[in-house]
Amino acid sequence: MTEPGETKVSEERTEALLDGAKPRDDAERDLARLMSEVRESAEPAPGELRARVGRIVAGESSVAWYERLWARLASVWRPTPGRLALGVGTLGALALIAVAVPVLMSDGSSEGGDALATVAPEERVQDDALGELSEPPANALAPEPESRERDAGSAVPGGAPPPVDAAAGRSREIVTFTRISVDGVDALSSTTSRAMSIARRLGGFTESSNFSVPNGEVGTSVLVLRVPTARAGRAVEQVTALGTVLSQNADLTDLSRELSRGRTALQRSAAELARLRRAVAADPADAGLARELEAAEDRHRELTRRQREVQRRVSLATINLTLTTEGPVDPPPDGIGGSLSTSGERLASIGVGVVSVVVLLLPFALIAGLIALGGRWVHRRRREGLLSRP
Amino acid sequence: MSTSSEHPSFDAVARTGIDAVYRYLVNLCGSREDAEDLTAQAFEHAQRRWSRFDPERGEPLPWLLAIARRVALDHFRTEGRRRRRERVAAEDPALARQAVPDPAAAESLSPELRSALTRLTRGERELVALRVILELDAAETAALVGSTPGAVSSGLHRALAKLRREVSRDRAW
Repeated sequence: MTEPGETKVSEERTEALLDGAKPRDDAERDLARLMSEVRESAEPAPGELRARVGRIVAGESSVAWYERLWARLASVWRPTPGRLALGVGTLGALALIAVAVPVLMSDGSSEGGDALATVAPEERVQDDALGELSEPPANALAPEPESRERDAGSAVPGGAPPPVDAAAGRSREIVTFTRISVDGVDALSSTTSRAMSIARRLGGFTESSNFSVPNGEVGTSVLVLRVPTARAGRAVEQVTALGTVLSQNADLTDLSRELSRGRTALQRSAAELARLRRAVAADPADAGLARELEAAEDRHRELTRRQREVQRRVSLATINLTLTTEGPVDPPPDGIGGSLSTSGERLASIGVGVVSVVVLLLPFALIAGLIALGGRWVHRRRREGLLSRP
Repeated sequence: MSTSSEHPSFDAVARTGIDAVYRYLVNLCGSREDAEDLTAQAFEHAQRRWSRFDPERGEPLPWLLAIARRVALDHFRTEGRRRRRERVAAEDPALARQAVPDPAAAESLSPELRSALTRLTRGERELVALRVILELDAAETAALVGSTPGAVSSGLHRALAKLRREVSRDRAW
């Protein structure tokens, strides 16, 4: 506010006077004199201060070491707006990366062709027709250690089926797993019927089947076929020809020794049973003998049951067959075209990943930015407040 | 001050800049004693950060003044606690005898001008110190105080007008 009688000096003229312009009137002369007086009155730093600063420059601090340490810690841990914003942004980014990376990585393509058919066999249906104790093949060899063979069949369509023929003179359990691709839901249905026919024609049967077409376009049919072991090889051959083989393997377990041991145990049990029956017949009043006979009969029944089970395992091979409308995965093209195609796909997936991460990080970046801006505004207002006091 | 882009020695910068920093802080704080302490602190901070100074980005003096300004603002922030301690000290007769008023204004100033300066705000005294005493231009001053050249010119104009007014009033009395 201007006092009465006082002439104002404009802002432009004030700047001009600062730059050394000549005053044009009394007001400007007055101002120039004022500025000159202020300028000339400025004192140099006192000698003691010069010495003090000199010591600082020389490496001797004027502040106690603990004060310096405290100042250092305070400056590190003071939550300035910038540090807060950085902290929020960093934490948010780390959290999102930890979540996003595994999700993005799990979209990696699964390679077809190596999938094994892991159909868990359904509970075996008791087949009393084959439950009779049967003598082993006439040319059975001496018991040999039980062995298990596993043959992973070809995963490429058109590969040869694994050898599953029963070895002469050996009692083997044969279990195969085959996964076949067929062309469409209609073919799925007809192929399922053909597979069942194959089992029937070879003297076997379908132990279980599960047909599923969830949406009319894709479907799966899971079959467990039982065929006589001697015809297992033919069964696998015919089943393989039903479509494009995606995977195939076979488990062969030699049970000759187990069967032999079972026979021996049964023979001993039968002999013991006969002896006890004669003894009981001779002395029917002997309760101890009667109990012994009962226990022997229980043991014999159990041995018989086990032997029948092993017999059944070696009599009928288990053909696990999965028919699916999913096709085999095309192998990557050879040569430069293939490499370019693969590289292009990888770049595209990386690009998608980067864009996804950026989009996910954007809200946190915005929040961090707002915090930083808000903090700077508050900081500025505080500073103006400090400087507005006399 | 060196104008080359080579990194000057801190010793040389301190020798040539100490007067400017002291004068700036005297006007900003309004107390010689505080200005001396703050000048020492400012040079201590500057020495620690000297390796980060880039001569291609500007002169050493504005850089030193920026550090001095931060030190002074930190000092003002803790002023409340300090004033409480001083009040306690003032209530103690033994301590009160030791406290001596220490006007920042130089003895060579006229009483009216000295009095008028104390009635300016810190921000106004700061602009007077930077533009009039240290003769920094509007752009350099604006960069230092975090403002624009236009705002700096307006602020200085208002500060000088106020100063003139206060001086005139004091002379009229």
